[in-house]
Amino acid sequence: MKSYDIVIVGSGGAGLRAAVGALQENPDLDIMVVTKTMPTRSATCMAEGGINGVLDFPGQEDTLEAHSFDTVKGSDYLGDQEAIDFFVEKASEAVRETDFWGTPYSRCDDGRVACRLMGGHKHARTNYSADKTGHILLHSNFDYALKSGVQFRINSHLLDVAVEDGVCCGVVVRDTNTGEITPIRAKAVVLATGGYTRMFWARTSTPYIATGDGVAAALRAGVAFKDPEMVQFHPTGVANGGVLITEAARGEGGYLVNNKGQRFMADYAPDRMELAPRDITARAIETEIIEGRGYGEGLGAHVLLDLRHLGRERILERLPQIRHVAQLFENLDLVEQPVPIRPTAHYSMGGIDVIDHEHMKTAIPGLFAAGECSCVSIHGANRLGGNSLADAMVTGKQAGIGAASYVPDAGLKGDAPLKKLASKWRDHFREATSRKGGPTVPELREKLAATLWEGMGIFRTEEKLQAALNSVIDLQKEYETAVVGNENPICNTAYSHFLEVDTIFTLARCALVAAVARKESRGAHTRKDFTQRDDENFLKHSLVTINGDYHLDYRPVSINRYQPQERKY
Amino acid sequence: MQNFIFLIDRFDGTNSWRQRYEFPHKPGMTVLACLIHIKENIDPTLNFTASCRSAICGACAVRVNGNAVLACDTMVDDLREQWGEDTLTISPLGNAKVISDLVVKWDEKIHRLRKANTGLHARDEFSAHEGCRQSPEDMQAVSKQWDCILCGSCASECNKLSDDSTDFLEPFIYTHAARYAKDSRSKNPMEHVMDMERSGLWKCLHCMECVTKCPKGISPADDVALLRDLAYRAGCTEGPGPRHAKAFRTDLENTGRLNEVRLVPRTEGMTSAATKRLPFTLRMFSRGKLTPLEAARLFVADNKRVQDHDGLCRILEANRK
Ligand SMILES: Cc1cc2nc3c(=O)[nH]c(=O)nc-3n(C[C@H](O)[C@H](O)[C@H](O)COP(=O)(O)OP(=O)(O)OC[C@H]3O[C@@H](n4cnc5c(N)ncnc54)[C@H](O)[C@@H]3O)c2cc1C
Ligand code: SF4
Ligand code: SF4
Ligand code: FES
Repeated sequence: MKSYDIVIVGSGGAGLRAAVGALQENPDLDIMVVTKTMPTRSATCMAEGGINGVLDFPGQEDTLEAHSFDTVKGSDYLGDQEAIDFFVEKASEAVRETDFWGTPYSRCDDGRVACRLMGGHKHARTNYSADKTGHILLHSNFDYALKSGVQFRINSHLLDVAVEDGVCCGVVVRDTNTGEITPIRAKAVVLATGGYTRMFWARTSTPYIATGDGVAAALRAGVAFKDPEMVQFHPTGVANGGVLITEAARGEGGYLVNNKGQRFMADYAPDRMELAPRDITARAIETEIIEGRGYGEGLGAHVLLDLRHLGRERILERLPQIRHVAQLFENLDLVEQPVPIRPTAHYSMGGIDVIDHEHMKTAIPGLFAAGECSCVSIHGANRLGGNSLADAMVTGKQAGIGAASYVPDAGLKGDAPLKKLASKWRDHFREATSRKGGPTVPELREKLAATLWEGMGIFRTEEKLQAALNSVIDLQKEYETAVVGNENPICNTAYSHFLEVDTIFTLARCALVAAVARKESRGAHTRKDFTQRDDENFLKHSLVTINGDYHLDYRPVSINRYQPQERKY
Repeated sequence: MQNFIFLIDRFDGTNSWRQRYEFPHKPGMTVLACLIHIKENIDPTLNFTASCRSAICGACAVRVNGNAVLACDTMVDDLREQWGEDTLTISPLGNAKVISDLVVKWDEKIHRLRKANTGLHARDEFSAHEGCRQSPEDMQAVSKQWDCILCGSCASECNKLSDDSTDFLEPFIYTHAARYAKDSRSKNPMEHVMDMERSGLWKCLHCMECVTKCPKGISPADDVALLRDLAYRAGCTEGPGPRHAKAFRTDLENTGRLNEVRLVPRTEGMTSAATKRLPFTLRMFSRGKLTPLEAARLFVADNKRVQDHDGLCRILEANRK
């Protein structure tokens, strides 16, 4: 059986940074990055806006404290303040460090890294590289990982994390090329598998890989899923599928219009109109649709984003990318036609319960988590723009250091649990792929997405959440009969997808369990039946575990500096 | 409009075949949307990769009628118009090991990418603690090379790689080396050049396939030229490669354009040009990789710089006889 000191699962910003962090901490370690795609296909490459971090330069008014406060406030006070203080300090370091490794940031005339102002921030601290910050950050981290000698096992799909005597002892992966299911021993495992927003399949801005596999594996291993109900919605995704139309469209002066031809933002944010914060805009659009002032129905319902008044020249010059997206997904030219849009699931604030932010430890010794799949929590109930790339860099590095410093005192565990899990998965492959005559995976996946959008979308109520939970339980049963449709072990992407959808079913159910119980409105969690934040009862993290049944527990938020206030902008 | 008809090159690990899929036309569908439609409604065994569906992750490159495109960023109606056919043939990227259907292997390519010594080794005045300084212009100078999404399209039809990939690298690897060699923050640009010099730098054929195929408008061929220039200046002036480069330069200086007809004999000598080039070109022809017409299209890709495509056609004609 192959064995390593550290196995890192996932090769987005967090996974790559963890690998380099671990090697820098201890170059003698034997480290392997296991990832289900070629490394650079991760969600990280899609980020456009930038990475937060306060840089010190003459005349700088911004401070680490200010970044910290904005993050706490943005989180609607569900963020853990001690962890956030640590995070903002490390975020600043991360920008300088990546600059030193080669990340080509955009520059000011005096040569320092350029930054922009993003929503929810008091100061401009979102450092960027044109409109492709995530892409350059991912590629420069990949380049640097290559330079540092990091080894990759690509097309390896994590199936499970193995635990012996309460201690992590490795992972079981499936080589998608060959179909081989292999146990890998490891003294430490870092999960960096990204978010779980794909549970809203037909309405999300995230890539196909964002199915929360690591969160589900950690759950099965016994680690809690923290704040699963906290999913951020971006107000403007194309109606067809949810790919992002960036803030730039509204920033340049685009109008949001309902089926009466009205700029409806006048009713929700008369002063700022289309430039209102993300959550207000998203709720406004959804209200228009619910109250019958949108177009279309079901998941395809939408309002319009109209840019025509900007004129051809301005659109071509300033918004070519957005025009291209409209062309690709809606088959129209927004120079001549408005584009159908609707909010889209964009970011997972919840994730694998991390109990030590400095080393990104979970409750299982030897198991670490980083990036969007992890939840410290830094983002609480709502993440600020630019904080997630910083999160991937900071928590990735800390998890790498955490794992590297854990390894010397940890012995290699036995391989019995690994072997047992591997053989369970081999049986599963045979059973699942030989099924005949049941529902298809895409069919149930679409039903799940529609159920979640209806019940756990932007507006939530007890009744709807409960109904969604019941449907998901039924669908999950039905899923046990779902047909893969391909028995070939070689490169069976249909089976990979079957696993991913299975995963989002589990995670959706966790999210619903927590959402029903959170009888308040906080950040992204908007309850129509409990419209106020309730600090007395809910200033705490939801913790869902599965052990036969789904179990909900809570943990208080760490508050050391800022007492909760009303969140107003 | 007529139904969509796709002929897809299939491979299940043992057998290869070409499979036909037909379904009703819908306007505004990308190649990726069609592949997903097939997988989810007609044939779940079809394999391909995709992640971002917005032209930034590089996962979805495939060949349509022999030309690499990003499936998520290419409209089928445009392709049908371009080719004047309702039926399109989809196959995996060229110059890559096929795992199954449209899925190709990246392990070796990643391994080869290590040769570019990627990652910045910053100048002494900079530190990890303070970061670097760079002017906006200096950043702009490398920004194009940083657009690379590692999709592999440039390698798919690279004629040098098709001929022999043991002494040449995927075009994007030269682009990766160039982005560090050219970076004003770099302490020692040559550390990204010399390994390239030993890894086929002089063997690029200027066929410009990489340039026409790159969905991001990158020119790996230019990056090859840039690295050659750095190598040449650093004293790599011996051997046919550098002599070729010198001729290339002289031509550009004298005429502002490249004369491939003179270029080949001058670097390799008349007889050796005839004998060395002949097998390569013949191989290309015999594989059906080049027709004179295609060759013409192929060699004029970047007509801003390389204009003498008549000359290239003449070489091909001459070699054919
Ligand atoms: C359109 C868009 C725009 C964004 N814009 C911004 C922005 O401007 N600023 C900002 O800060 N953030 C932004 N974000 C968010 C940010 O990009 C992500 O939160 C962050 O990059 C997550 O990084 P990660 O490394 O945790 O995960 P990812 O980059 O998602 O990487 C996950 C990795 O895990 C691997 N993996 C997953 N499952 C498995 C498995 N079962 N087995 C093996 N490997 C697996 C994947 O292959 C992948 O390599 C944006 C996100 C999107 C989608
Ligand atoms: S120009 Fe050179 S690198 Fe580019 S495709 Fe032709 S031979 Fe390959
Ligand atoms: S250079 Fe262009 S074609 Fe080649 S891998 Fe990069 S983006 Fe793709
Ligand atoms: S799916 Fe990412 S580039 Fe096409």
